[in-house]
Amino acid sequence: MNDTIVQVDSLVKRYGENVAVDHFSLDVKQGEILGLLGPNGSGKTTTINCILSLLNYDKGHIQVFGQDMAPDRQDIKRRIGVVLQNVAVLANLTVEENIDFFCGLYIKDKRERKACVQDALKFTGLTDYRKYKPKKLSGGLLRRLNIACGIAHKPELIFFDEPTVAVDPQSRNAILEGIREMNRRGSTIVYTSHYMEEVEELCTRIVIMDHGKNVAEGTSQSLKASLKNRETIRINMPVHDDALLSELREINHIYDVRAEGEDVILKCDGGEHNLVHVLSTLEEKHLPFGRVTTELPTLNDVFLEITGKELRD
Amino acid sequence: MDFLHVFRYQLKNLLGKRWLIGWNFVFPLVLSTAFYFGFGNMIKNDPNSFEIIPVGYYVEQTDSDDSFAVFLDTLSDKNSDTQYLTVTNYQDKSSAEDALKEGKITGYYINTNGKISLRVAESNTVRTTTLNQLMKSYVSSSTMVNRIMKEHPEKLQDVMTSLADSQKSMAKTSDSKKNTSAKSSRSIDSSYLTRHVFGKDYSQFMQYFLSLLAMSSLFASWISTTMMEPLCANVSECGKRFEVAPVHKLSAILAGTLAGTILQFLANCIVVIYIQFGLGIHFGVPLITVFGILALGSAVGIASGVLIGSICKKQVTRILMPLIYTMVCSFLSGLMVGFIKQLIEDTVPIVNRLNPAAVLTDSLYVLANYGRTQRYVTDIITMIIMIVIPLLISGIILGRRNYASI
Repeated sequence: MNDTIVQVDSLVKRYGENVAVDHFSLDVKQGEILGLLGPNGSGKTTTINCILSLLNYDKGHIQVFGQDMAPDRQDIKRRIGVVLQNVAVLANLTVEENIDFFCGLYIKDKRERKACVQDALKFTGLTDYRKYKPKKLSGGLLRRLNIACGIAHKPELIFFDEPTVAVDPQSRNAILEGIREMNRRGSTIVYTSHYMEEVEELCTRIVIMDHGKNVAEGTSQSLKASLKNRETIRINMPVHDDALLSELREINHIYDVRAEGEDVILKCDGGEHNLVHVLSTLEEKHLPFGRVTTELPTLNDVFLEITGKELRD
Repeated sequence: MDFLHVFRYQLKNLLGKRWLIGWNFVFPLVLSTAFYFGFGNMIKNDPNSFEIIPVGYYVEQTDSDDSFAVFLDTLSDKNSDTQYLTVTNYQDKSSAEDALKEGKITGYYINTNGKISLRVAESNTVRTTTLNQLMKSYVSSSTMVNRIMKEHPEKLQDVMTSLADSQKSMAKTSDSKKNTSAKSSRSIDSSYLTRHVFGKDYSQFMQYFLSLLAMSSLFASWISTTMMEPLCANVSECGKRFEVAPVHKLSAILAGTLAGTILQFLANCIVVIYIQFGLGIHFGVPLITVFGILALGSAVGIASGVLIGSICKKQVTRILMPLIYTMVCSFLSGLMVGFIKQLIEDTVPIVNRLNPAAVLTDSLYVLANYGRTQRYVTDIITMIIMIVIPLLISGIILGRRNYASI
């Protein structure tokens, strides 16, 4: 059985001379939370808009639910939900009316629609605010309304386009938990963001985009495992010399040692208990040291290693 | 279902916009009040407005055949469509003079052995000019008939037939019982009438109120651009959400168009009722017909706005364009300068045919003054075309399935 819900093959989208999406390929499996990670301007939103048939494209092929996606494919659109980056609600309708308006574009049966609207209100915690107009809502509540409008019709596939931009941490956590819950209920999620922590925390699989290209793909673990640097140890040592650095470099799995002011930074290419081995060596030599930190690699390190630049620009 | 769903929420959403209530509902009321204080009394007491003219008739000396008396009897026949005068016969000149001084009559005719003269208290008013024209018309016709009787009596029948045909032709162009022009055109020079004589109870100052109704109708274009915002992905985030939904876009835009037209129509009805019953200024047309024309006008405004909305993507142009369009069209139809429409008619009449505000004011004006003439029908057809064409063009533009950029 083919469990691919979205298939994008060699997508190219140009804006004049600028190539926004450059032979980008992607497949989204049923039931997963796919993270589309990339810096601002990397082509994430353009890709989503092409998949949704909002934008035309120059080359490539897009299939959703195993069928060619086109603007008039209402049968496909009916199964999709979209939560846009910016809040997209009607200012003069109440919270409940907004959800009902957008839900009504998908569900014609009034009774069914009413139940869906109530579910969406409950799910996003907006029941108490259902009679409020959007301008009376806080930023976090507005975001929740934005989500409610996109998911009220209980879609099988939901696109979240940077839903947590400019959201306070508390609301962000609520949103992420909501997305997990939707996924548990059976929805497949495509989540775009330039916040690597979110993607790392939420997504079962990650695609990293840069300059419209798919630069890396895999689970968070597999992406990080592809890095040479698996652990970075930073030790505050006011007294150190080249001989010490050479000695530290001899420890198994440590492939790079350098000094930065009073700090010594060691990079490890794998192995376990690297910190213990380093500290043992220092104690044997009776060398004083201060604060010690150890960092595991992040997706930013993956991005940095692949592209040579930071993920967050 | 989509249609009703979108219609219902568009109506609700539009009604919640305060600026819409302000500009489309309140502003025309304020402006009409300002117009009323500016020249409301001039409309009510307009010297140009037609009324049946009280006139005296004094026979100083006459031959046995007083054909002018017959002419006056015809013009003062209460049972006729062609009553222009109420005639009081005076036995002596001093009685006629007293009546004139007391203002009981506008003037009096003097018949001295068939030679007709007119005496009026003040000259150069429409009433006195009309009396003068009536007299001239009589003199001209009777002179011609007398001459033919003397010189070519065998052609008299042809001439009489020709005169009768001429009168029928004039009557055809202005076929209304209440129509002053029609009445007058049967007796006096038609070019004079078209330039100066307005309908019964009608004033040239009414042009301002007609233009105001046109302006109010075209303000609907603002409603359209607002109505379209949440439906177009290249304009708003709501539009993106809307266009990824499984709905027929053109059907939704038509639903919004209907919602907007109804709103604007309501605004227009309120203005008309206020002007007619609040300010006491009548349009000279049955209220139901005014409403009908304004329903068309509202649809014209909405259709224009849909076209503007389908072309303009930027927020600022979507606000400015309807405003500029409305004010320019209204100005050219005489909203600020009453004679501008006539000036355009004399120089570049095509502008009046293409300006929706001018067409709307013209339809009301023609109906009030000349009845349901060919020109009125042309105006109505023009307005229908002005609804259909922009909607068709917009349909082609908006019917595109996706965008190159959003």
